[in-house]
Amino acid sequence: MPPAPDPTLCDTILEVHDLSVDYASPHGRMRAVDRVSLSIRRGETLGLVGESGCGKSTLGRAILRLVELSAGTIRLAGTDVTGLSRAALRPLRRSAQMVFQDPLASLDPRWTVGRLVAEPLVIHGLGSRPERQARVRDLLDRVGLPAEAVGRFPHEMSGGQRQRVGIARALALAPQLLILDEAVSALDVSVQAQVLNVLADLQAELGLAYLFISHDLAVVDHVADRVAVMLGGRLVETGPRARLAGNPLHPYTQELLGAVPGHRDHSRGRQEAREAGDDEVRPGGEGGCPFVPRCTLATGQCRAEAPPLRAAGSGSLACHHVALAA
Amino acid sequence: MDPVLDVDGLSVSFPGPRGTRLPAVEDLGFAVRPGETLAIVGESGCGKSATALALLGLLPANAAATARRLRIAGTELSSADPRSSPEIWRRQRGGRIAMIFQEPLTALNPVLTIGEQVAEAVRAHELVSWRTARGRALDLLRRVRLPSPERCLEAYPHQLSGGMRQRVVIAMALACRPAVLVADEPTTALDVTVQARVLDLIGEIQRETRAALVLITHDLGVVADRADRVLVMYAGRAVETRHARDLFAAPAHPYTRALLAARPRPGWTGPRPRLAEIPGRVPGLAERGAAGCRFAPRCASVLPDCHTLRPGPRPVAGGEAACHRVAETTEPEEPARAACA
Amino acid sequence: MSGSFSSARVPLGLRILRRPSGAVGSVVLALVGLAALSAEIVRPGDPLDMVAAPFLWPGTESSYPLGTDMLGRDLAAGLLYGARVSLLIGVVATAITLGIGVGAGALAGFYRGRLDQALMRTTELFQTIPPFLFALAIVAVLQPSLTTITFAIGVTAWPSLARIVRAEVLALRDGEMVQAAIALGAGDARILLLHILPNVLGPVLVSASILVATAILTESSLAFLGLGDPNVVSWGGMVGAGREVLRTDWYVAALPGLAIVAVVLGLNLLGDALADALDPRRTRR
Repeated sequence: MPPAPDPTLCDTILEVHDLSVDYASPHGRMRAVDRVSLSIRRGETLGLVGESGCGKSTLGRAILRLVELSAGTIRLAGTDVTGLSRAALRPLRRSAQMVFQDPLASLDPRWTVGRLVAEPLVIHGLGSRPERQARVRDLLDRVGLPAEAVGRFPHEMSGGQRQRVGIARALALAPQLLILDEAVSALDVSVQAQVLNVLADLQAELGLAYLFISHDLAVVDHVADRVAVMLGGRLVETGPRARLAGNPLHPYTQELLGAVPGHRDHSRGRQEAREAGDDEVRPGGEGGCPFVPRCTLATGQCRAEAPPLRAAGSGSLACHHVALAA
Repeated sequence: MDPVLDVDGLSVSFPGPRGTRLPAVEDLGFAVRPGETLAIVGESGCGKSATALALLGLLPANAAATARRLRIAGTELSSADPRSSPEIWRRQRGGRIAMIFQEPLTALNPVLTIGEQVAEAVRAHELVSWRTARGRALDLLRRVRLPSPERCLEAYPHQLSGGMRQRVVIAMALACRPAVLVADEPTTALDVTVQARVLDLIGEIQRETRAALVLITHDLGVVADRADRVLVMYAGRAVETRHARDLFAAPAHPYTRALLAARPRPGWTGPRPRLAEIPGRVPGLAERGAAGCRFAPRCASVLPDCHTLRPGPRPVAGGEAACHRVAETTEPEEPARAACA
Repeated sequence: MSGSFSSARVPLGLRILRRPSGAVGSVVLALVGLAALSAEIVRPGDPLDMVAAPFLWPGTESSYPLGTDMLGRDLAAGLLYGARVSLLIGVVATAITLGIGVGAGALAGFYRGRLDQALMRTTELFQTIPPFLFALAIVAVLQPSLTTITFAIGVTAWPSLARIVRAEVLALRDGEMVQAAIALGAGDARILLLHILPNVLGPVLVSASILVATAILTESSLAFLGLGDPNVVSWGGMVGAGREVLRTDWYVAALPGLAIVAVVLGLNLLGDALADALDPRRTRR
């Protein structure tokens, strides 16, 4: 992240500083998100990639205060929302919204599309009934759904249409930031293309900022302006998307990029088929770099202390062995 | 070399309203040689999973499967209904053809140890003692490169990670040295880095055992990396069967072209490219007419014939494609046969 | 899939009636309801009055087709008026149970923490005492009357319902549907009343049909033991009265006993059909 010179910087829509989230588990408290800092400018897309269990979804939910924070601060549109009560948070909800991975789970199956999309307007007391109806039609149109969709139920639609309903609902309050949590991951390629194009159009028309959370590096590389790579609850590398895709520096980013199907670098020669245990990470709170169990560069230093995320130029990197050129 | 899996005219249907039959797979044909990988690729509802289940005789009871020819490792099965001759199918399953399932957690029994399950898979087809079966199980776990295989024998499925569980499923599939492996989205539930290693493992095993692999997937990237030949399905029918290199170099069928163009490509420069969309959606089982090309309503290069005449397979470089556009440059052939050479 | 559209919008009532268990259960209950409503028209006057000679066997006297008991009371009239009492107690007691059970379960599941602890300890306390003995004790202390019996049945049956509701609410509470609503800024009342409760309605309705049956059985048992309301006829009371002449004139106890069996069976069948009809995996078919 470039060091923010001034917290009142008005074109920053989201600023997260040293955010941590702990979960209670049978094995004691687990750190799901470990001192993460990031910021997103208006109209910008930040891609957040990482494998399952790396804490990327928890981070997305923590930003909207859907899970309890352990430490850190969140500034949304210039306001510190960290300590606000749910009631005090309500007006600020209008500036940031979320699209979930599975619309079948996030949309009430007993409600029609019209009622679902209108609900945010009802909650915030926006508009009269006819005004709300007009707004719903407008929103459906924006995401490419026919006006007849208002009377239908989520289970009567295809996966792509359902996800459009999720997007329309999130857009109802005219937010400036949309958190997309694996929003296209469950969709078929051709449907995914439709939804990604809708998202691109909406961003161009409305100047939205996106936090695009996904495990799919190919999709993230397509949509993002900047990319943040997360592993074991921590950010390990951030930077402009072209730099990350072209010259990944962190060994984990390299592994992630090398594994993208269809873009394997055959010239480098295939790695020896390794033993399983290949999805191991060092749990947060144990100290050391999360990538240690899998890293070919790992040394005693990596096991003993976690490398700090050092900023340089337009990105940042957390590795004892590789330095980011300024 | 003779194909070890030879399929012609495979159709699968499900019961529809008022006694009708809904076609999930229609007149599908393909052949796979030992050591070869055929990828069957397509989007949800294209019939690829129904095809996999039909090959194993594992379709649900209400489905009906027919084939002109279904030959697995020299045994003709087209007349063998899994319900009327379950013994023939049971010997095929696991013995000559084995399946690697998508979701290892549901494919494994949660209350049995890994050792018990792999040994059970060995004993299902070979009359050996439990002791021998256990020894074989340990060998198999080594073979799929599980760390500390002795300890894994005693472990329960929930104690392993997703990648390790998928390796166990592969070990079970290998238990009886099958000649044909059918992998139905084997890595969809896994992270990309794990996916790459599991696919490496499958490839390595395939090279060693010369098993034919039918890889069912929705991921064109996986296809590009792993397949020798590709069969693209759309709404229950084969639209294109090609050598992988030819397919990715010059896709012949408009659907294949559209599918490839819809994929996000990393490493772009300049202004953000727009993804190509395919208008409309895949027709549901009940909306599939018999006449014409199924893709015609969504096709960018549709001809009048496309709505009325079902295109047969036409030869293209490295395979064939079922499209009237392709036919323009070659002699028209006898229509309505979708078998591959 | 294309097939999923068709039956999803068939109204619940029709989905129940389409199932054999639902059809039989509904018909049985409709007949009992009709009997309860028509009691005054078919048999005017107090069913507790002596109207004929005692021990008239069913079928021997055409004006008293079901015969009379040891005191010469008309059994047909008793059954008709008894249906009123049974249904009334069943429905009102279940309403009380639903009110307490759904309320406690929903609040415990939604707010968790200390409120949950307190409410769940209370249900455990209730569950250590067999509900029937508990109801018996309450009625014995308060003096048997229609009101006290209904109250006693209602307040002793709720703990199991509260547990069912709590489990359902807990599962929904952590789901994406509720997360999405919170992200939109919805308040607790909206989330609980508009999103969560309608989605736990299914299991609640199924339990309710069983609860009505249980309440009718409990009332019958209380009446059999002599803890019924002495001023009204109830089926349990009739069985209890017939007990003494069971060897010679068994019909006096058997007829009201049969009525209880029919209603309880009908309610159970309806509950089954309801569970089926509300199961989304089955409604797709």
